[in-house]
Amino acid sequence: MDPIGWTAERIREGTATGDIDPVEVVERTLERIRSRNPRINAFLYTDEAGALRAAERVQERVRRGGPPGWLLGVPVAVKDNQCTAGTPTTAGSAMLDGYRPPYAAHVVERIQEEGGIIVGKTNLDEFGMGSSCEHSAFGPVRHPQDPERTPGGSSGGSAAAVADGMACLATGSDTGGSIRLPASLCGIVGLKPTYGRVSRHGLVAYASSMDQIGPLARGVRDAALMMNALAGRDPRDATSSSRPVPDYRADLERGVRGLRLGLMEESMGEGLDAEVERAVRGAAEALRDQGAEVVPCSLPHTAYAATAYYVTAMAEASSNLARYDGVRYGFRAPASSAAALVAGSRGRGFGLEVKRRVLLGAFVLSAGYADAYYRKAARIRTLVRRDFERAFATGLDALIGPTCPHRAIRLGERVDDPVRMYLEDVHTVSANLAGLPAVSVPAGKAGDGLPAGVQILGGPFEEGTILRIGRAVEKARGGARLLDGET
Amino acid sequence: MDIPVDDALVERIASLAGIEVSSAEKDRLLEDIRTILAYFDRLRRLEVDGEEPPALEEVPGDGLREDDIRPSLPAADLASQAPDASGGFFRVPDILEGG
Amino acid sequence: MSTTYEMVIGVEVHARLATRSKMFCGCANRFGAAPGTLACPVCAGLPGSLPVPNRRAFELGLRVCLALSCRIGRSTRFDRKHYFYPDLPKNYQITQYDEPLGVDGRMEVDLPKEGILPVRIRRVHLEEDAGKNLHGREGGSSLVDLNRAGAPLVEIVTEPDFRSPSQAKAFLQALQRLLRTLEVSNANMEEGSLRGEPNLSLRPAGADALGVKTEIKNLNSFGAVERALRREAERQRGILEAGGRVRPETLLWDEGRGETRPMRSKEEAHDYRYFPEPDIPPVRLDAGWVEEIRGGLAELPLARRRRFERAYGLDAAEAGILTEERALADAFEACVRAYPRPADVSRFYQKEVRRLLNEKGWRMQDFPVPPEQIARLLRLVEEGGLNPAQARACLAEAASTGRPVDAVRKEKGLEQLRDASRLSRVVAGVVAEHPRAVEHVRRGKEAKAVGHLMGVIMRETGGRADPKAARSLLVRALREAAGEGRGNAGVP
Repeated sequence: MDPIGWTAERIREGTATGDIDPVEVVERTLERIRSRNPRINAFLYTDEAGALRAAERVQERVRRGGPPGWLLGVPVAVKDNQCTAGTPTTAGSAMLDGYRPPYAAHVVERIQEEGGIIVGKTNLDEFGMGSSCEHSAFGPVRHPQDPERTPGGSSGGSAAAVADGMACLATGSDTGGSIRLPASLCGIVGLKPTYGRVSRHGLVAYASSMDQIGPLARGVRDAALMMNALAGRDPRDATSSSRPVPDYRADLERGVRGLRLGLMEESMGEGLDAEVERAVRGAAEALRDQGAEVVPCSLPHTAYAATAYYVTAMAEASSNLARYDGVRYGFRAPASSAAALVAGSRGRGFGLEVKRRVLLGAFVLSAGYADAYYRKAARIRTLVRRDFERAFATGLDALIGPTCPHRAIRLGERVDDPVRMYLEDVHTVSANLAGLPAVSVPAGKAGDGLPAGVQILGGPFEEGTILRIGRAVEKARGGARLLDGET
Repeated sequence: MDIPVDDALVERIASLAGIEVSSAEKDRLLEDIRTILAYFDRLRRLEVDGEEPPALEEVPGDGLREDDIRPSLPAADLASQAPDASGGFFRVPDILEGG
Repeated sequence: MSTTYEMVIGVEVHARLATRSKMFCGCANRFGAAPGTLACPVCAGLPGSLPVPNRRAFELGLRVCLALSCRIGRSTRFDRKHYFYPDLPKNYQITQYDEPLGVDGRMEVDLPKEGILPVRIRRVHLEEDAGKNLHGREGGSSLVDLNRAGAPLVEIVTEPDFRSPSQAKAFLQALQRLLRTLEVSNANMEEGSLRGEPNLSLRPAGADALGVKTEIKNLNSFGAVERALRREAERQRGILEAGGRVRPETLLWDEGRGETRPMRSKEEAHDYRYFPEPDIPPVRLDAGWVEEIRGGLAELPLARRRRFERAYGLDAAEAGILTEERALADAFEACVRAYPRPADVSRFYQKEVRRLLNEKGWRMQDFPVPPEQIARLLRLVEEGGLNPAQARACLAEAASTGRPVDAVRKEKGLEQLRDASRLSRVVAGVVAEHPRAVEHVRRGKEAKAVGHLMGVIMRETGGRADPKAARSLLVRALREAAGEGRGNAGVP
């Protein structure tokens, strides 16, 4: 098999024993990127020399008998809203075109410490704001299976790269579904960890109380492997959890016999594509066949979750993006006063979707409106959390439902219709509001047209449990996704 | 709440948000803001008086940082990404007096 | 007939905390470094950076809350306050709005003529400072230095309990003493580590309702606070007497012109859009932690002054001077423990030690001669081992060399000459050599003669004569010579 189709587990094990040459793997990956990226536009930046040097360092590490590392020799793509020291980090925005951070994100350091080889930075919706990767200042990302379609967003570049073999693993970020949604639409695995599980140090902030970085991979085992590398306490992030990090692969093959799963009723209602519904119900059946109990479960405030999410996310975004003013870094528009400098730089540096969200965010926090909007959204957030607490208190181990109401949409289909675009997230936002871990794994029949995912949601810090359930779904489909054309 | 979504509102929030909105964009944004605010108004329909907003988990005193000095960025690094910096300062056009 | 107006004044104070590092990052919390050298991704607001609060800032802030008897909640939280300004890197300040560190406190200020003024403290909270704006040398531009951005501040807000500019000034001075005693801040107005922003409104005397208030900024000294308030009161009175209304606004004090002017900034009517800081979880202020801090608290200046008056029998003024500075009060008490004559100890510190400090440009806390050594010096003088001039010389030498008093004394041969027979011989000799002095005594000018000859005796004995003994011998000798020599001209 072509090295670009190998799993991360295989590359890691082979590299450690010396059977696999990391330089070869990286060379093959870079070749793939060169040939495929011009059409797909998944990568905004690749560092060929840097990646080869890193591969050589891994070789040296193995020769010296150095520490094994979770990601030894594995080519990894990093979403371009995560800082890499001295190399471009644009967050998909003209505002940061040419910006090179003087420091690296925690996850980037972790990947490097664990022997992972960063091959490039991936394209995204500007500042993470979008569900289709059409809001990048550097052109949209195209779905690897159909260039007229979007891969979903905002981590569309990372999802497309992994689905297409341009990277073995990738990081994404998820504020309202931005890892899970593109994973579902591209037919791969995407996991959003519990809030606080992975450090946000070096993640260009969108909505601080919901942002999380997580893995995108072609299979559940690889996603678990990457979680081992990314998770853990970082004192540079005050919201980062001190909870010990288990080996997330430990229980993956245990099966689901005796587990009790809730099928989220409100998500299975109208608005769901027939194929997606079939895929999700099919996954539920498969889990029943493997010995799990699947019962209906109601989360009464689901209808309000998306609105509460958008009000909250926009409010936090307007605050987090206030720093982009052309003074210390980033795009600066010529101006004759300091105030004009700020307004002009932001007016020209931000794209339209970002401007919408920043304006609305300022509005929902403004005097006279904050109570009716921002604080009301905060109270609904509490209700959404309580819905989950009650559901888990009835003895459910996890909840399942669709990730996205439909499969990959065409480019241009919704880009000019913000609210319709926001509805893409309707199934994913609740996990962000409640800070719970959630994973999307491919569902439906393999090879049956465009992919659709099933979402599995767990209690706090239950990444191991939801990955275990995801593994069972994956096995029922015949195993982890292979690259197109591979057996 | 029936908020008049008009030019004046857009100008006011543009000023709050520090964003210069071009006249070309203004109409488009007006439309979008109207649509999105209508979508937000679903919030009003739910009666949720008296619920406490969610707080992050409290950390006890030892979740804080020890008072140790860490190296700052070399001044050159700080300046390297700046549009206009010199001598350790960032230069901006004149701020109107009063600060 | 003009109305009598009453001034109603409150103060908002910012003090820079004496921590090693900044409020939310590890950059050094230092004043006066080269521009742009004390910044990092966090305090410069670079993308992806996150604030992590400094534990010591909480401890110092809690000291202030305890010293001001504030109510301290179960937990405290940060909020974001939004406005655009080039010296504010994130274009929001991390401060505390809804759940500050402490509320509803009080402080007693001892006013020179009016007695004790109780001041209510509305709130005490923590926040970060902004950077500094300088106007460019090339006109038309401003320069921003981020060294100060993120420095830790404690903000203390009073109720409008002051009724005159001098009361507000006295409060600030007392607060400065308190902050220094607690070792919470250098609290230096000229350096900017203490900033006072008073607010003032007028109302007809006897009225209850408050008038419209204005705030004054840019005050760099206690005197400026007083001057600015007086000027602003005049300005407001002028408006009210002419039947006008005072505009609620923030004014800048121009020390050069001695007047206030409105801030022209467009940021006047701010909508700060406060909301809870999502990057920092609320901090639990558990009772154990608070009690630990309370236990370590220094005695507060007013309480210490009162104790000095009682325990050492000092009057308020003297006790006040001794407790002005913690280092002086500490040294005084340690010295008195070794040499229990408080009045002498006090006098010695205020005169001899103070003189040496001024000469050398030292602060009391840097003074190298420990209180026990001062006690030794004083005991020597009392026993006659040293005369006051010798004691002064001994002190100076001990301070320069750091050697103990007894060693210095031996090295410099600082011994008082008290041997009666030797002294008598010296005195007799001097009197014999100075017939004119004897003549003065005959003519009734004894004091002049004594003064003159004492100088001679001290010179002859190399400064070692015991002045009291020498003086008494001299007086007797002069009187004898004057009485004997009537008619005679100085026969030995």
